[in-house]
Amino acid sequence: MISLEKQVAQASLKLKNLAQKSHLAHKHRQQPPARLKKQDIVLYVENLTVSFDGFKALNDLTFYLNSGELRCFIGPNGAGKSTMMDVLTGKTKVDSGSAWFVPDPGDPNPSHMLNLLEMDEVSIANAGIGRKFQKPSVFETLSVAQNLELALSMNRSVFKTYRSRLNGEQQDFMMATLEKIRLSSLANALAASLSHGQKQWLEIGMLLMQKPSLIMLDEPVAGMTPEEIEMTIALLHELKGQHTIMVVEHDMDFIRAIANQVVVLNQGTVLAEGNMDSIQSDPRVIKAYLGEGL
Amino acid sequence: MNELTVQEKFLSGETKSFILVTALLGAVVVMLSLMPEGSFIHLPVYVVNLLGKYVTYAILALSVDLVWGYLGILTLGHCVFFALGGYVMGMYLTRSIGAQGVYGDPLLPDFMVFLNWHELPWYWQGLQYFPLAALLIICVPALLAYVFGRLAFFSRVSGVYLSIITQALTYAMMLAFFLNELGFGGNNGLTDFKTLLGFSLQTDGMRILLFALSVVTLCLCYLLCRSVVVSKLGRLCIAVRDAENRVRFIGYRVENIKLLIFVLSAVIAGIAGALYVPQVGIINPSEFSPVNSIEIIVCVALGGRGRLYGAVIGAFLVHIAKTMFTNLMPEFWLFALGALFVLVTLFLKDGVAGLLCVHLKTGSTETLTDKA
Repeated sequence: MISLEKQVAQASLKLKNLAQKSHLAHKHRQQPPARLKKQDIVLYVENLTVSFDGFKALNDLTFYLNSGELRCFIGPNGAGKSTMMDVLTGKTKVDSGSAWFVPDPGDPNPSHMLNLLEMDEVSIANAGIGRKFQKPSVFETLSVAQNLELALSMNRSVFKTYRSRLNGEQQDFMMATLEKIRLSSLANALAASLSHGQKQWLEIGMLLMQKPSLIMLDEPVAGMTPEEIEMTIALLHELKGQHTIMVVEHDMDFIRAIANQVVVLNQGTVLAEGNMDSIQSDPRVIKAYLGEGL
Repeated sequence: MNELTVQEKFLSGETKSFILVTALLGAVVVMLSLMPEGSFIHLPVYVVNLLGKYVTYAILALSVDLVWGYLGILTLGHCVFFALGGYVMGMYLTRSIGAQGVYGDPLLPDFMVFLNWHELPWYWQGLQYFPLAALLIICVPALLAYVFGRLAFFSRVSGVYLSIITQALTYAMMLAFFLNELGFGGNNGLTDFKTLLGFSLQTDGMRILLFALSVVTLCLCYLLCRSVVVSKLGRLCIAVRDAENRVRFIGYRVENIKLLIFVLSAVIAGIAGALYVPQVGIINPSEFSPVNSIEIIVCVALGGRGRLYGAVIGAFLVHIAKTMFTNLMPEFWLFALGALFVLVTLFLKDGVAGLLCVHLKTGSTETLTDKA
């Protein structure tokens, strides 16, 4: 296991160097990136810059995400973690940079890659990127099962929804998801009646119903009790490998429990990258976090 | 393991009772009105006529509930679709007058003769045929709703701004229809209708028939709305109402959902308007007045939104109150309407239907009430 982690770490370091070398050439590239050495990259984020009224929320952010990996992003407040997710899900427009997504990791054809910066929220969601927001947002006046049903991946045409009914297979899938998010017994309860932690799970469940290949979780354990955090960790371990997962979180113990690869963001750019131990002993990281109790 | 109930039954207990009660009341009214004149249970035809008018308001309220109660768009101009449906019907009825008008012109309506017009404008052509009129009753409100929705929803105008635009729309239409040059009779509107499909509008039988037709239409529209709100589309509407952005992030085009429901609702409103005009015998620009649209909003709020039958109950209550007020002290009606709206929003969030619900189910809906 450890050697595998090392390999991954080395590979991504190599990629980073490679990206830095080709930085200038790729500044305004509209073409999908030529395949880099690693074959299973699903997300290419290069030189993203976003500024709000002169303040650079993202500053030349570059990273690559491998298929099936779970990558954590940490960083002090204002480091650009949520902005990064906003950009990648079509909510915020960038000043410069590029973000390419491979919808099907098994398909090596670069022309099937998607330019996320040219897509809106809806097409990005339909391309297989699911996002859980910082604040749990579920449909409060619908039941748990109905929330999941709406998220179920299927034809999104508005006319089709008028006649749509769940078939047996979809019901089974929903049951399995309910099981996974530990809400089987509350399937017919109103989402509004759930606890904070349960709402977070329901939102993760909705993500799973979308069958996304890339999942973005923005502070998934914020406001959870220690028991709920334990269960979320178990859930994430279950999902690891089936989906590519990006997690933004402040809770260090939680990150230590789930992540093999951690990226530290600071002032909109990557400050350090590596496993948890090397990150925590990195003097630059300590400096950035000074007083925040890392 | 629990059974998953994602979809409510189309014919729920409430739906069945609504249809049953509406049909029954409608039948009773028709029967009472057919009693011999001297009999003490005889219902005068003018009351039937009045009730028929209320029923068309109820249909309009139903369409507003679909947009406001389920989709969460506070439309303050829904009467624009009602009035347009009414105007198309009015044009058909005006063309049916033929040479029976005051000036006896076989082709031109009286007001055009009065204005010294010599030709029938192109948009009046063919409206002597009922099938075309019926088609336009559906298409004209739908087209306006589509164009308006396309512009408003796709530029992501929402909330209070959208409400203001809907109100501006109906106000602008009112001003436009006041113009004589537009060819819709100016501020007098269209009136003095004689026949509908060849039958005189002035007979008791016709009035009762129109009332019955309105009741049947109410039931059909109710079932149509019900079929929408119990479908996945209906749940999507509620999702849009609760968290619009979340719906986008699970991959639905919110604009299309809004557009579809808005157009559907406009069509229902147009049909209501078309039933309204032959019963009151006139259509003029005051039907576009923003106050009318606000009245309908008060109806839905009073009855309880997001329930369909609530809108119908509210429409009857408000318009009965309006009739009483305008008889006794007309100048106070608007104050009463405003006070009613304030009181309902403060003390009766789920409206009369919510009260009924709590009483019938003794507390089982309390959680719903609290959260709504």
